[in-house]
Amino acid sequence: MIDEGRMREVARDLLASGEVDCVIGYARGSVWYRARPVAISDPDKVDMLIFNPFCMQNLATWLKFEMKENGGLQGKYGVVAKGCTARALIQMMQENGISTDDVYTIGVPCPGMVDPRKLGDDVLAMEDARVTLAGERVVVEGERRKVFSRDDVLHETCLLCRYPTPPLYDVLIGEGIEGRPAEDKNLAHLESLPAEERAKYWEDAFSRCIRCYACRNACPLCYCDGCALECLDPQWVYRSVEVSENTLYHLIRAYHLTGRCVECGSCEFSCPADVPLMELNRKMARDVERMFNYVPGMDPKAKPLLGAYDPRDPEGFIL
Amino acid sequence: MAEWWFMEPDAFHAFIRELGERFMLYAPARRDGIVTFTFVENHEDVELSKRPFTSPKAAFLPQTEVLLKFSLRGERVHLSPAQRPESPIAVVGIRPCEAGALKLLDPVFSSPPEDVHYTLRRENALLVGFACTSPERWCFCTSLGSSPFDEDGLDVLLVEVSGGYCALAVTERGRRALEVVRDMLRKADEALLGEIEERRRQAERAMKTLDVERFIARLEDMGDDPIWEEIAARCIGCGICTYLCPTCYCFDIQDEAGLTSGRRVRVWDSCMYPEYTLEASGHNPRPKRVHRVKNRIYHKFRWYVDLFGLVGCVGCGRCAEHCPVNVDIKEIISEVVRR
Repeated sequence: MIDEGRMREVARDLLASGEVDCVIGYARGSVWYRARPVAISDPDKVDMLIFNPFCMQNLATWLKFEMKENGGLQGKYGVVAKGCTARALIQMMQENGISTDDVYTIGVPCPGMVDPRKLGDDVLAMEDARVTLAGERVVVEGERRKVFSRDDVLHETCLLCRYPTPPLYDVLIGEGIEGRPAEDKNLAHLESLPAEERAKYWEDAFSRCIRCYACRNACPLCYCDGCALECLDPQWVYRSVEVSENTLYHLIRAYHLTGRCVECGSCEFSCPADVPLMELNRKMARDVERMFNYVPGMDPKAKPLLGAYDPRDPEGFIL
Repeated sequence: MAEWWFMEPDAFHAFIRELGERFMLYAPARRDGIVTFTFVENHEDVELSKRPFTSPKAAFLPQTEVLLKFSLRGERVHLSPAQRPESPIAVVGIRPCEAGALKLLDPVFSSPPEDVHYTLRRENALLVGFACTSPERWCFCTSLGSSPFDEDGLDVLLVEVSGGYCALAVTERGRRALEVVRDMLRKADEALLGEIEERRRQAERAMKTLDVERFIARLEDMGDDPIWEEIAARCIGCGICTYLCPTCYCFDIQDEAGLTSGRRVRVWDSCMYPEYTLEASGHNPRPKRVHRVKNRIYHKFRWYVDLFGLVGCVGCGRCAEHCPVNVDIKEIISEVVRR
């Protein structure tokens, strides 16, 4: 795991020197299997910062709240960034959503995050516990000690992660780690199904959606000023919570994130209804990669997919 | 009448099957691996072991409800009002706190002008409660005048015991419901009564008590406290806390129209959305998350108290359990009391 002391030291120096106005990081949650985002501007408070296997949210998201509520960023932000967080920041830079001068990336190589739901109710019932990732194992130490295989308890998106280390950073806490993505069996299985079965799968998934918009709000790249979903004239998506409107909602998001999604999994993590949103996002990402040889969030100077043209782009869909 | 009856799992299933003959069953059921409150066709789908992530309020206040359909026929507009609520609903597996929540919704919808969509469903419903023998860590109903075995507001209370369930007819309606399977029930003996009591004590002991009264009093002069900024700083402004809350009742009414026909629907709304307070002029009196977070807490713990003399929270803890950024109402209460 990463050196929290070093991370705090970096944060303290950045704040004390005035290099940044605010550091966005993670703090302990109210229970041992939750961590929470925190914004710190007082150098004396950096000891709140932690980095444990429950730091799932993508902190780039908090920049959008600053932008939306304050009409733009207020100064410079230090952001504790896992691979996916840094990629979201890079993607925002590509799109001119933020500038490279707006953020100081405190890179943290990420060994993957644990999905508390996969630990089981008996483990979650422990009053307090400490969780560590050690190679292939995840060790939970509380009133009892329990050892899991990494493959069994990490978020799926983390098991599939190819970029655990930020592609770009101002400082990196510790040594970078190589991605070693697992095979995407779920996606392969879905793709192998006949269309009717796939349709049924998504119909079931979307009918569970309660339209709380947690997926959109937790997404670092859903930062549009004036979301299509809030438009009342024309009202693209009705507020009725039923499978047709829910499907429209999720397809609009999937299309708007195509070539932009950095696969952090914050949407799926935030969903209370277990909608497998990342399967949709991964499908789009793999298609984009295959067709356009494009991976988003890797280079702030690259052109966004929809803004780029290459004569070799496939055009089989053009009549 | 306050007698406990023992039912074996077979009798329990017979009971639910019989209820299914006379009521629309609304109960926890597993859908693709996740337990949710839903209308169930088959009584075998009812699953009481895990508390659903949703509350049962949607049985009475559906998330989407058609109020009116309209269509243009030549020069005339044809209106057809929605059907009055269908057959009576039996909510099976409702927790004591959730029955308490319905009692908080009642004054809202029965105050003039009465909302007949809600009140008719409510008046005809049968509530078969399920006692919480192992409360969740997020629960704090005992701090709000209820308890894991509270029978208030229920028609029948079920308690899981070794070998089956014990049922208590709380109301006459509940007694009549149990009557149908009378020959499959036997009176609970001393040993079973002892077990129920022991489980009740255990469940209550497992819960820490928070000083909600002091919390409410402290809110009076905490409107400008930095605590709200601290909480709001991590809030993502989604609707999870309000949609999963058994006592949140805000809704919007919208027309969904095509060229020649459409419908007027009532849909849940959430005070956590910026659009909730957005005015036609473009002005928003609650422009930031901090205003909305504070509103949610103050509505439940101050304004609801002022309006109806009741606290608008029953301590189910769903808002905290499912919050993706760990906004935890129990922690907020303790923290405010401590400050």
